[in-house]
Amino acid sequence: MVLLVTSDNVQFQVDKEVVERSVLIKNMLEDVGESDQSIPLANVSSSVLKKVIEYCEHHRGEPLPSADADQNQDETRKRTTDISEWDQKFITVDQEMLFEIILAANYLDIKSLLDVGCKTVANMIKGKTPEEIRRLFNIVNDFTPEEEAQIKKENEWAEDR
Amino acid sequence: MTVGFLSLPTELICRILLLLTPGDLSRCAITCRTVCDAARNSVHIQYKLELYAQGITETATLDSITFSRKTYLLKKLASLWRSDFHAKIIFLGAVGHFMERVPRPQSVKCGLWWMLGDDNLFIRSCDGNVELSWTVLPSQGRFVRSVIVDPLQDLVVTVLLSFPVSLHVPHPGQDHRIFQVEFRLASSKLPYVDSAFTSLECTHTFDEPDRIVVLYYLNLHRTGDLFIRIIDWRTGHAKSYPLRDPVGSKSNFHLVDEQKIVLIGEQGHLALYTLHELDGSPQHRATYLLADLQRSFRLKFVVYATPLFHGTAARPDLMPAYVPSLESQIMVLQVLCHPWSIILVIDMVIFSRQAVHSETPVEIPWSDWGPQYTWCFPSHWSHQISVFGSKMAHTLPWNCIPESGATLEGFSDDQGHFYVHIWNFNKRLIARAENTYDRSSPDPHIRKLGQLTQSCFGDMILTHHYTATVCRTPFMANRFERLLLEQDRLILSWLPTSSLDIQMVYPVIDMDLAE
Repeated sequence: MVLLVTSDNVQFQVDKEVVERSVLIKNMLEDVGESDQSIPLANVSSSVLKKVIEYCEHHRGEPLPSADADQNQDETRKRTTDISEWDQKFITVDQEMLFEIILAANYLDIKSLLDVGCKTVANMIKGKTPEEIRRLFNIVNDFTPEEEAQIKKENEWAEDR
Repeated sequence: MTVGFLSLPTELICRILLLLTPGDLSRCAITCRTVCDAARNSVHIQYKLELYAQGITETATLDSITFSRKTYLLKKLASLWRSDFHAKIIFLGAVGHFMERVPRPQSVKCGLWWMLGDDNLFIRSCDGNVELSWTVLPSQGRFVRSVIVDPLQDLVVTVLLSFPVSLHVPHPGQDHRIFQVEFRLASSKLPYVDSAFTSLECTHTFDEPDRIVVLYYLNLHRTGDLFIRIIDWRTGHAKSYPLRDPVGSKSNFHLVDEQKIVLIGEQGHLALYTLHELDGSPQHRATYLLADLQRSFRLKFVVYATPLFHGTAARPDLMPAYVPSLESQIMVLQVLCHPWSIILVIDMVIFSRQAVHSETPVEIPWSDWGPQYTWCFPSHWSHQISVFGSKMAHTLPWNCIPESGATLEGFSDDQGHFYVHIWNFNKRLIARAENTYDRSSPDPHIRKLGQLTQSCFGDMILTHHYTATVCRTPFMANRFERLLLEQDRLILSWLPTSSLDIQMVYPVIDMDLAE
């Protein structure tokens, strides 16, 4: 078992096999060797870590993606934005939690969870107008009207016929 | 402050943007500066957008290309066929020894050029390393009607007719023996499979990776029926189907993709068929009609289009890094008709989604598709054409821009030189160039079609744009034979005496020459 401590000082006892889905923690454990010391996760809160552990528990034992695949942005690009049923249900959370999970997955280096998160966000964006996307993510339009018109014009070509 | 989309670091925003289609991506980039800058500064995103704009898709071989390679490829893609390019000769060579000076079929795919001459098949690799190879086609008592070489499949398909042609077909429903199709491995010249069919008239043949399609015409009971034979050359399965709505005996055809085929009839209408997956039985889906002919002209159609690249390749090493996607391809119909020949450039997007699902064939009048999806130019039989993706290479005199109503003059043998013009009909590139590029830069010039007053179809007013560039290097017009275009090269050939001279050139811009 491995002891994890979150940013809000909550302790989690997790199976080594489960927690090693995080490449960050896996590397840490390899560096430190056998030890009873707890691992502080300053960037992850307890509510988020709970979700992350739930994900890792479910996917326990599945093969980890190879290291060079992680470097390969094309892999991400080529894959569709399909998400498996369990993951879909798992990631049905409020927006703040969704982005917290993405940040945690990125920090902890859990590629498959990061993919699920990014695909979910991509699916939310699909088919929406710029104004709808702004409303969705609470984005403030910081372009001047002239700039916006120019950028709109520059991007027009990408609209499908 | 709560965590939201903009709290993500730039690399994660880019990771999400990369999952979007170019349309969604560009709408997302309009929302605010952060997202806009993230997209602009990401090589991966710009690379994806560039490929999409150029209408090309990567093939599997380039899956793991690196960041720096992408930057290099971006630059290279942007510099191809610019308006101030010159021709850099990669190789020159003479081929064969022929009895008489007649045009012979030649073609190129994946950098392998081939020509059929006096029952010899000449093959030459464009990388310059491989010497010319040639093979005598087996034609005892028969003559070679048609040859297709597919280097990707390492396949040579020969359609042979018995000589003299004698035939008796009692029944159209029977599996008639009309011609013989032979399959050979291109590399070893060894026979692949023998399927024997005796023969009559085989109009055209075309291959796709797993199936060979032969279109032929039978004078059954003097009705004149058109048949299509679908041969699955890997399994040896072959079946013929009569085409219920014959488009005429002088039909030509083009395979659009694995499942779609377009027949170009004698009157120039385009009949779209789908080939069913299991046995390839054709189903007529739609007919695209041309504009009404002005007088009772006799027309001859020549089709120019890009070869197919899909399927599993036997020679993956020959697969080009990029292949044109269907929705960005054009098909060019050269309508030969004295004195008002025209070139009709058709946007293949019409075959990619429309009408494929209708159970009964629909007739689509010219007014419903022509003005929107075609470009039209005056033409002359002596001006050579070649098509690759959304580009068309065209041999013309220097400042000749054939968009006015004037009839084009042909080259005569003593006329000196011609120039290769590259026209691009990619709508995305044009739309992008219109909005972003500096008009004074040496990028391709955007042109607009005007009214075509003299054509076999009468007046045609088409207002779409296209880009035009001219290769600054002149070529000898004397005895010029053929022009072939690929992604980043041109092959030109002359037939001065009893042998064929071929030249392969790459487009280079001034900067490249200085290096």
